[in-house]
Amino acid sequence: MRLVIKSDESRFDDSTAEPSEPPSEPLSGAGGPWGPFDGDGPSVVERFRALQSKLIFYFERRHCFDPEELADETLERVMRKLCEGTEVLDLTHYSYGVARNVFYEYLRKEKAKHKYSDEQRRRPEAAAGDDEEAETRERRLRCLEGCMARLKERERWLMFEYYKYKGQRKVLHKQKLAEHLNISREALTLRIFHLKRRLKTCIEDCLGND
Amino acid sequence: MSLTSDHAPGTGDERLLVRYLLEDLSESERGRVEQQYFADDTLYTKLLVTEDDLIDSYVQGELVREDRERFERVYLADPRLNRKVEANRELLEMVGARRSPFAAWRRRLLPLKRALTPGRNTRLAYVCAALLLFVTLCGASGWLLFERSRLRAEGEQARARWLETEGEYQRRLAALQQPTPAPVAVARETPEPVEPGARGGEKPLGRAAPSAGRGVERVTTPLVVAFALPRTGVRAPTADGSAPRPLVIPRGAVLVRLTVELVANEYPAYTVSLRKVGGPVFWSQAVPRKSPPSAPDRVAIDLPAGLFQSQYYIMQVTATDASGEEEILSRHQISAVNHNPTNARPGAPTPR
Repeated sequence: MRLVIKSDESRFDDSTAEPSEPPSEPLSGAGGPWGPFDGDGPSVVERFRALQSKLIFYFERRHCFDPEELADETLERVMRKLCEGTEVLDLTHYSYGVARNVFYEYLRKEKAKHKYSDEQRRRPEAAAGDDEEAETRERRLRCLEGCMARLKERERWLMFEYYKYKGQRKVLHKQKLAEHLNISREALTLRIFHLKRRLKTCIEDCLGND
Repeated sequence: MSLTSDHAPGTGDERLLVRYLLEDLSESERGRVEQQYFADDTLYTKLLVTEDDLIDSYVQGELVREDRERFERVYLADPRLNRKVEANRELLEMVGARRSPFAAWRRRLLPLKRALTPGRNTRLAYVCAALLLFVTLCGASGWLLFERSRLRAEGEQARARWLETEGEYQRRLAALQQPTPAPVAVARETPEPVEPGARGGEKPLGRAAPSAGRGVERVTTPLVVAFALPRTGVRAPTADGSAPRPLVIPRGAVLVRLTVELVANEYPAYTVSLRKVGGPVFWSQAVPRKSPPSAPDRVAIDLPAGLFQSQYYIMQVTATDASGEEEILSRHQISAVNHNPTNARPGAPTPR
C-alpha cells in the first residue's frame, strides 16, 4: 500500500469530519528503509525529535490529557506504515493526518463533549495537597536558581536585560538590546527563547534528580 | 490565509499565531495553521516563541482585556498549559528578584509569604495571622503605655517647674511689694495713751497698735522711710542711666528721709529742691555743711510722706559759694510709689 498525503489545504477544512485513515493513493516517493527520515540534512534523530515535538504541541493545543502518549501513538503508527514499505512523500504532512485521526480516536474514547473532562481540569497540584504543592514549588525555585547560576555570565546578563522593563519601554529596550548585540529583534527573541528552554530542561532534570 | 517562513513574519502573521494560541480561529483556520507549522520548522519555532512571548505578556499584565480573558480561558483552565504559565512566572519573578536590591530579603520571606497565601495552608495561615495580630497588639499596647507614662512624667516635671517658677515670681512680687530700701521702723514709747484729736497733747507720729490695756504702747508702724540716692551727675538722673529704683512709701509712713551723697563737699551751704517731671519746684530746703570741706559728706532732708504722689520727681542739689553764686551739683530722678493715699496731698503747701 502506498500512502499519499495531499498538500491540499481543503482536506482539513471540515472540522467535523470523522476520523479516517490517511488517504492512500499510489505515489512514487522517497526510497530507503526509513523513507523520509533518510537522506541529507539534519540527522534522523533530530528530524524525529522535531516531529515528536510538533506532535506533542499539537495534542497539547488540543488539550489532550497526555500529549506525549498520543504523540508516541502517532509516531508508532507512522513508523509501522514506513516499515510496511509505504512510501510517504511528505512525512510531516502525513504525520499530521495520522495525528488528527489519533486525536479523534482519543475524543471518542474519552467520550468528551468538551475539550477535556472536569477531572482533567482539576489541577494535579491541588490534588496533591497544599503542603506537597508548596514543597514542589520550593524545589522548583531552588532548581531554577541553580540553573540560572549555571548559565554563562553573558547569558544571565542577557536574560536580566531582556526582562528589565515592562510596557512600551520594554519594546524600545529590546530594540536597543538587539542593536547592541548587532542582531535582529526576532533573533534576540529566539535567543531568549532558547535560553529559557535550556533553563526549563535544566529544571526538569534537577527535579528528576532531586 | 497563509503563513510563510520564507521572509520574516510580519505583524499580521504574529497576530494570526496569537489568535491560534488563544483559540480565536475557526476550526478550518486552525487546521491550516497546524498543517503549515507541521510542514515548516521555522514557522513552528516562531509559534513557540510567540507562545512564550504571549505567556510573558500575560504574566507581566500587558495583554489587552479581550486577549487576557481568552488567555485565561485557554491556559489557566488546562493544567498542562497552566504549568507553562507558572514556569514563566517563576522565571520572571526570579529575574526580577535578582535585579532588586531587596532580593535576598524577598527570598528569605518567600516561605512566609507562601505560608500566608490563602488557600495553600489555611490553618498555618490563620495561626500566623493570629500570631502577627497578637504581636502587633502587644507592641501597640506597650507603646501606648510607654507613651502614657512618659507623658505623665513630662507633665509632672512641667508642673514642678511651673510651681517653682510661680514661687519665684511670688517671692519677687513680695520683694517688690516691700519698701525699698527697707523702711526704718521707729519705735516710740508713749507714757499715756492719747485720745485722737485731743488738743494740747503731743500727737503721735505713728499709728497705735491694739493694746490689751493702759500702759506702755509700742508703735511698730514705720514712721520714717529712708531713701539713699546714689551719687550722680547733673546730666544723668540715675547713676547708670537705668530706670530709677522706686521709692516705696508704705502705709502709715509719715516722713521720707532722702539722703544724697555729695559729689564735692567744698561749699558752705547746699539747697535741695524737688519738682515733678516737667513741673515747677514745689519744695526746697537749705542744708548747711556739716563736715570739713575735704571730708565726704551727705545731705539728708526730711519730707512729709504726704508730699509724694505715685509719680516721677526730680530732686536737684544746688551749692551756693561764698560770693552767693549757685551751682547745680546733681539731679536725681525719683519714682515714688505711695501706699499711703490718705497722706498724699497733691496740693500740699510748698515750704519754700
